[in-house]
Amino acid sequence: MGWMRTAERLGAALALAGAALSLFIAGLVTASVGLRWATSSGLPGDFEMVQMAVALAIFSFLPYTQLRRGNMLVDTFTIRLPARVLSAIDAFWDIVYAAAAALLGWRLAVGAADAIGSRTSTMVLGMPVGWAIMACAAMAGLLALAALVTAAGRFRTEP
Amino acid sequence: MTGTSAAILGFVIMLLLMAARMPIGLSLLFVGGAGYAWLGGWPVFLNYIKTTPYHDFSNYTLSVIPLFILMGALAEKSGLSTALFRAASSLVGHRPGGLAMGLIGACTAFGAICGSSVATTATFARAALPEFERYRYDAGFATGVIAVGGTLGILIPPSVILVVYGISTEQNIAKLFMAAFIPGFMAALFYCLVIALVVRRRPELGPALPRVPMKRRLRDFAAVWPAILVALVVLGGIYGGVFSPTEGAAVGVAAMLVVAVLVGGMRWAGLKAALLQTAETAGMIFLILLGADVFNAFLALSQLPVAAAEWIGGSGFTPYGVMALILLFYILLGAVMDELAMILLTLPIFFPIVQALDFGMAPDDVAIWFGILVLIVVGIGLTAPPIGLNVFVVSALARHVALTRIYRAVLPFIAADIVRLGLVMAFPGLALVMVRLLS
Amino acid sequence: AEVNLKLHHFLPAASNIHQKFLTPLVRKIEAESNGRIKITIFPAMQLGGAPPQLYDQARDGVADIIWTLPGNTPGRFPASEAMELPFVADKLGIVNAKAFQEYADTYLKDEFKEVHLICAWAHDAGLIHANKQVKTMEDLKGLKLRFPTRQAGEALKALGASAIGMPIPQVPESLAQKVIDGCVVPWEVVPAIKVQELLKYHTGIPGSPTLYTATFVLAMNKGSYDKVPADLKKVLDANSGMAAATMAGKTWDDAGAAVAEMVAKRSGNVISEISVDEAARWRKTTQPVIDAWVASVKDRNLDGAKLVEAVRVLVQKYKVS
Ligand code: NA
Ligand code: NA
Repeated sequence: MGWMRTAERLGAALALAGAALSLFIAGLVTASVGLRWATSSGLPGDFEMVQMAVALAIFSFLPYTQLRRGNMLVDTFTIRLPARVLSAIDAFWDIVYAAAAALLGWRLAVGAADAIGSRTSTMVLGMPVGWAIMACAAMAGLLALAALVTAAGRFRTEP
Repeated sequence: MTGTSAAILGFVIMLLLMAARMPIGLSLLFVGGAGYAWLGGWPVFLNYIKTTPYHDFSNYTLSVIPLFILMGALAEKSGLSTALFRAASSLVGHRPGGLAMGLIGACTAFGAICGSSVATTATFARAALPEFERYRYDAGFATGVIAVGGTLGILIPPSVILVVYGISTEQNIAKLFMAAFIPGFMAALFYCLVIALVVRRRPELGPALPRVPMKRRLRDFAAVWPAILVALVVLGGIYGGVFSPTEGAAVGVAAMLVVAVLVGGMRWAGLKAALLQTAETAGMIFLILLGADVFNAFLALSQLPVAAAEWIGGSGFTPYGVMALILLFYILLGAVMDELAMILLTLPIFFPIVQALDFGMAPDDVAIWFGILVLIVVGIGLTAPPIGLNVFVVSALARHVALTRIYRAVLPFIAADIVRLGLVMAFPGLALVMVRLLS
Repeated sequence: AEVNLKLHHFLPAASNIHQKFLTPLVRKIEAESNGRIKITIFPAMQLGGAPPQLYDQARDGVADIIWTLPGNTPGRFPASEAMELPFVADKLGIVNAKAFQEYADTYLKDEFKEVHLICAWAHDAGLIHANKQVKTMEDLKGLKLRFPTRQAGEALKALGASAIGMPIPQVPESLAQKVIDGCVVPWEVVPAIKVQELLKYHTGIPGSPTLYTATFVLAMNKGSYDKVPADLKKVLDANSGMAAATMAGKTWDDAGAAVAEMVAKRSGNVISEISVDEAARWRKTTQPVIDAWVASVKDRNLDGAKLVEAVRVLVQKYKVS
């Protein structure tokens, strides 16, 4: 049970960092709007910073949502099944999710390496896009781990 | 197998997997990915997902989704949702069903600062359920009203659903927000009427509260000024031309954060809770968005949208007939499916069809009108059995109330929504007049 | 069909380029192959991803053919940027298209070696569309203009404008809310983002060279191309290179003329040009942008000065012929 809580704490820390990035987006855009209103010129590169930050924030949320079992599912048609069967079904889908996330992480890492190699950068500030993709690949990897942790947890938490 | 039959098979398998408890976003991702690989080949699919998830999410407009949710979470943590509910119920609580009407009023006000129905529902389930219990409201009726009130989170602008509609159909989000005003307030009014009618027939469902003295009423109303201030800053900034609706979300969060800290007394623990709540809700929405993007690429490969457009074009239905069919389809599909996934998957098919129809209006007007009609059917789907997201959210926070009781309470409200849908369909002006007035 | 290809691009199916360039080109190829080639066009990023990914989609075979702007992925195609430098391109799309096609054949082989380049072109003159009339450089001071390409952005900054970087879908909303004062695009793009309804003044540069152009490529996956039987390759090749680029350039010119006429007929819209002297002043003021670019491509082992000269010579060559 200890490792379960540790995993949730780590997922929460990552999600908090991502949500703080959302706050940063809010502050950045507000500052840019204020500057533009006062001086007729906003912060350079505000759009691309937001674009990069929003992708990073979203990937940071996914593991936490999974650890909290917050992903929407339909339980109307399975409501009469015994709890143990339900846990087994849910654990199975967790493992499928882990596999899908691992696949995404792997492919994103390959895509990130491509983008780093081709020196793709943002329009105004010239920020390297590849490293942002690499960070998302890493978070997809963490998502796979989180899904495995929840799968294991399904059997431990049931009485 | 033709592309069209592959797409239809994909839809069926997706629905079956969803019924078997596969998370909604994952079933979209899974079936979409498998279908893509089937039609396009595995190596192509592997290359497709190399950077697509990043670029799908690296979208400026998408940033408003976590922001509109965060705004609601901050408002809740600073006690604004409770204040709104208290003010509204001190005004009408002494009437039969008054507390329920107060809840609708509070949800309407909250909807003006929060763009998510899930967040609105959860917020008021936490804030209002204890009150309903205290005044001996029927538990089924109370939870049903909260589920219905929660839809005002998207029906009143700002609205995540309208943002998603605006992105996927390339329409002006500010205009969509304006167009949603009248139908949104109509919803609130209709819900109050339904409450009045239901309680007249069965007074025991929603007993009247003692009348509140004027002095306390005034004090309760004075307590909601921060909500009004934030809504004014955001709406004033948007319609005063200082910032765009997308930027309005960011300014709204900044303003709400200031209010929450200075007025609501929010500290680190409250901020942390608001941030985590946002992360969890946004994570749920974005898994669905990711899955829908992959599923849509599969649909495009299958050429189903083209086939559907050709079929409708050759069917000989009148434009209003086609619109009615599409909306009926949406109501049925929305009952059994998640609404966000539904519109993401079907807009690429239906939107070009609707744009090609002649309603005697400019194509942009049709696009905005259709957006509002879609918004109304999404609202219906959020509470309609067997799969109504808002009902799930309330039921998760009110474990002692059976789902069937909540659904039964929701039915008259759905009837009101269908009337409203018919009105907005018959009179597009209900949506378009505000767009004309404000721009 | 014997050869089935997917063509992926970012504009809606209702757009000019989809209807008047890509579709006719595809139909022509299909007809000349006697139906042995079938090309399905997927508009509006239907196959997924965002516009900056299109090039990689062709390279990786996610789509067989893509249409994209090299400028969508800044930093990746440095030599292509020579065409987009201020006061290098011609007023006419057809001249720019031919010039850039030949430039690509000569200088961009290495830059686009990961794909089979079907054709490369550039559009006609871009205009400044704003909510105030621009007669001189001074009028640009502080004007918030959405810039189209990195180099055009540098040029606008040099001229004193506040160059705002913003994805194109954001533009109509930002114009409507007066978040920006205008944008810089060729005529062809105007109706798609409703510029004629949102902005009154449309200012061009007299004669050539003009303020800027943006470049485009139609690129094919190498493996997909190799798989095409030899006799059908001939059909593809006959509709590639200069033939296709010319068709593209003409599409921009025709569409531009039609839009300009439509806007001119609207009451309240003012179309004008800055004076010849003013244009000369702008050209002088933006020369440092070219110098900076020449310096910046040095570390990519490119002789920038030579490339700019080559573009100028090609533009001149196709202008007279
Ligand atoms: Na709202
Ligand atoms: Na539903």
